[in-house]
Amino acid sequence: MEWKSKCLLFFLFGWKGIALFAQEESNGLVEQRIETISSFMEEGSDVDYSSLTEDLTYFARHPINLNTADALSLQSLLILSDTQINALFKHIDYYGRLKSIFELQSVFGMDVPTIRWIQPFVYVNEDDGFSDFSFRRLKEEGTHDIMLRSKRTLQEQAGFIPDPLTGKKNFLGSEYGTYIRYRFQYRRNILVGMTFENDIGEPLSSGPDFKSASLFIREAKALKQLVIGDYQVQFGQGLTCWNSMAFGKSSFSVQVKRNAQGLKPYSSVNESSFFRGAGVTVGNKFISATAFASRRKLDATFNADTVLTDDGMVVSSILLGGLHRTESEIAKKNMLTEIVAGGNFQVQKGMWKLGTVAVQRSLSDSIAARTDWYANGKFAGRTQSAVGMYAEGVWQNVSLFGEVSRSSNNAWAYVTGLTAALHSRVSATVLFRNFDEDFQSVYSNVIAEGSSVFPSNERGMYVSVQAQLSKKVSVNAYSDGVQYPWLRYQVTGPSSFSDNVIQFNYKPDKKHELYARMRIRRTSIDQNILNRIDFPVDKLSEQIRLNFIFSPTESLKLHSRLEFVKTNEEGLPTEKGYLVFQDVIWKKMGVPCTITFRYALFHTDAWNARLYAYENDVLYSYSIPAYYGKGARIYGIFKFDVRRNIDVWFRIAQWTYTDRDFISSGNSMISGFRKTDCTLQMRMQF
Amino acid sequence: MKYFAVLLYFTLQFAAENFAQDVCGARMAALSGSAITQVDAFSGFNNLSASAQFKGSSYAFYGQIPYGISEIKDAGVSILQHLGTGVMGVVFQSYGNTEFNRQRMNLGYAIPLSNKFNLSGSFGYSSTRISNGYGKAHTLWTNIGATYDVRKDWKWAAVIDLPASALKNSEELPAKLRVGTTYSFGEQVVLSAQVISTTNAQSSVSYSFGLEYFPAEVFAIRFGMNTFWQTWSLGVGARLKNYSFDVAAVVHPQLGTTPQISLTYGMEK
Repeated sequence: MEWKSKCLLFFLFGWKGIALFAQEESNGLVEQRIETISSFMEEGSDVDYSSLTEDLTYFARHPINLNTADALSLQSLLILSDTQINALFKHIDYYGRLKSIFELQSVFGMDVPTIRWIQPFVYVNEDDGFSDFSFRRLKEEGTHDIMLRSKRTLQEQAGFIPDPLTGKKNFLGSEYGTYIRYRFQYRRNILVGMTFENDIGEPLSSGPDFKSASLFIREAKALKQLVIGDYQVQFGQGLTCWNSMAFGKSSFSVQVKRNAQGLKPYSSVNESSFFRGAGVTVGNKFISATAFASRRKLDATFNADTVLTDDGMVVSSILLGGLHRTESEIAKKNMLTEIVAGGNFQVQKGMWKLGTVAVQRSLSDSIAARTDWYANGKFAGRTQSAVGMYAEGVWQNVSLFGEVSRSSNNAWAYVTGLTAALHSRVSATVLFRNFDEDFQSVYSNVIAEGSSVFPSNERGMYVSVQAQLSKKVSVNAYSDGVQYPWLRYQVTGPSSFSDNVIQFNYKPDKKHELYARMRIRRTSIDQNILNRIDFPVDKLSEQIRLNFIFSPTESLKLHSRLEFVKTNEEGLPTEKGYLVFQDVIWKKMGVPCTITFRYALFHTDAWNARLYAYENDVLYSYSIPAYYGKGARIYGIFKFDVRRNIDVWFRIAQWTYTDRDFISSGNSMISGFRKTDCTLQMRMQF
Repeated sequence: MKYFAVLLYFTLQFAAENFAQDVCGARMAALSGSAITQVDAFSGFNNLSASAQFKGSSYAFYGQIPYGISEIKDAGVSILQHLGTGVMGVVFQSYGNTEFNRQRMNLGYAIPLSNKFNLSGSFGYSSTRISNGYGKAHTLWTNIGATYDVRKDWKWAAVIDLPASALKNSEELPAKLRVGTTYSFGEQVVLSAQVISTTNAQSSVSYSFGLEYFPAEVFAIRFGMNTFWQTWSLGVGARLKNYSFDVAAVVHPQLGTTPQISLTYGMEK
């Protein structure tokens, strides 16, 4: 065959293979990163990984140019610490632009494992944002992404069973949940998104239950950020104004310090953690100012109260679940109007920042005061606000950060800390926090043991260490000591809490990876004994996990885990639990199919001894369920690359319990011991 | 004859389970007692075998106010002396006030069996007195320690504290096994960890960890935590010629903070 024909054949078919491989590889890399990040996280933490998945997926397909990237972009990777980023900028300032990614080895603090981690998400070249903008370029380089998803539980839930007397079903919608998402992106500068979602049981009669849209523009000269539609805000260390995803405690030190991105377009399906309106940030390299406003409806329940209000109604609770399946749930939909306005002013020089942020929230109806002793100081009323100041910077090998905030009832809170690269192979993080008992946050997301969203009544110190003992062995550990000066829910007295985790990692080569983790938690909880006054007693929880990943061939990966937990509450029997699972992941280059399979067995004496495990899911969906009770869990994911730029996923997952005759409760109750969930998803990119 | 004379100096050692840290010396306190493999002026309290290869003389003093309660004083002195092929350690501690007072002494000897392996043994004696006619209690203890240098930057140690007897009564006293390791990253960072197994305790196994950072050769910053007492500790240390000055604060979540200072002369780094 002539060489020209061979070349043609290569470009027709081989290129597709490379593109497919590149796309599969990037999806696999992102999943691997998410799984690694989640392994460092505190189990059960409520983190929205879909936003992180979206960011990492974008960077995998549109890597960051190291020569022109700003600190914010590099921080978004959640791989590099501030000291490493600062060292990179200093290296470029001194030696000029990088010629090759391998030059990173000469940057202080960049070791080979770190370079391997970031390599898929960065490159070295010239790249400009808006400077060469044209509509033709917008059309050529812009990418469209359409996602369709449908899911269903195969077993019939109680809400779908007609009432024998009335013949009516409690759930007004169908047994299928649907999700449609559209994204248009031009580099990192323009993003247009729309999301429609209907949960299982929600009626479609008036269109999708959840609708979201946003237009986001960034880095257009002095217009640093502009967002119209649904968005989130991130400022400072999350104490005053932060309604976006953020990590909790972790032995992964780069996850501890918050890296605020200002305004962010909203892309998740969580129906409560966003603002709806507009926001803008203007400024230059040294100064930036942000203003934002939001008006949206919230679901709420009301109680009668003729003392506080004229109409006799006060808000007893704001509902964040976003479920509108039954008449009563629909009756609570959009009952409360919330108006939020705020701003941020920041000065910056190099890696040093100083800023001030303020936010005010007004509700159409008053929130009722709570009478429980532990809720003393919680917000009640219509309007609340908070003002804060924050600062951060990098000095030598130390990254410093902190924020102090004051709520409208004159209560204070602060969080401050540092991350230090003590050695090229050792880094440590220390974080202090103090939240007054009656601190009333407006929108927070901080590292806290009690509540990261409503931080109060907590005083603590968190320390973590990461050390690379050798090329193959590393250790991560953290310790968190907390005092609660006032009462808490189910704790009728001042109390304390400690949480200690240590994890040893052994990675002899690319095919094998092993880690062992131990966790000891000590807390206080009321001892509920009949006819006695409640008083706090000690509760100790000890947990051990062994995790092994082995890739016998290039296309096969085996992931095994064994985990034990033992919980002892003073005066009560010890509760124990274990979880063992085996994952098989098959992905062969050139074959447009990926198969993921898990079989798990678990046995826990009670809810206190529950265990969590990250599960693979369809793209942009994530799952970290609690394993409790006795039974087995099995799931399989089949991914097909139907054509170039069209992917299909099918996931089926089943719980099988041996200790119960029905699963869940209320309208979600399933009669029987099995629950099977199916998800079908298709994505088109062009 | 020399060895016989040393043996004559053996006395009983008492490990006080009811004392907050059972750790003396501000450096060790800042590390929550985890660095039992380290050469330290107060290794006579912790693990004398770690100092078996020490050449010279060292004199150290510490003082602390347990939980900030000024009525209770805790102070001690420690002497390390190179003797023959090994090191002798003598320590004395006094804790309490006029109503409650405990004094303990111990004398031990450590010998290097090879370049990498050291062994030590000691005896301790403790006397506890409570006023208002409650009387006195006396206790004798034995302590055996061993240290092994895997590499220059990686060491292991194990220490057993055994109550020999409780004089004049048959009270059951706790025995303790401690196993610890330290790993050094160059001259700048030392990580240490210790597992403690104690009989007759609510939580039979506990852990302590420490981190020591030298931003400069003569200055150290330390941090430690202990799961049994739920305490964490911080400290700094400075060294000038033959003198070392260390400060530590140990924080207990309910009982408060215990500040400690120590001064050492003669101890090499």
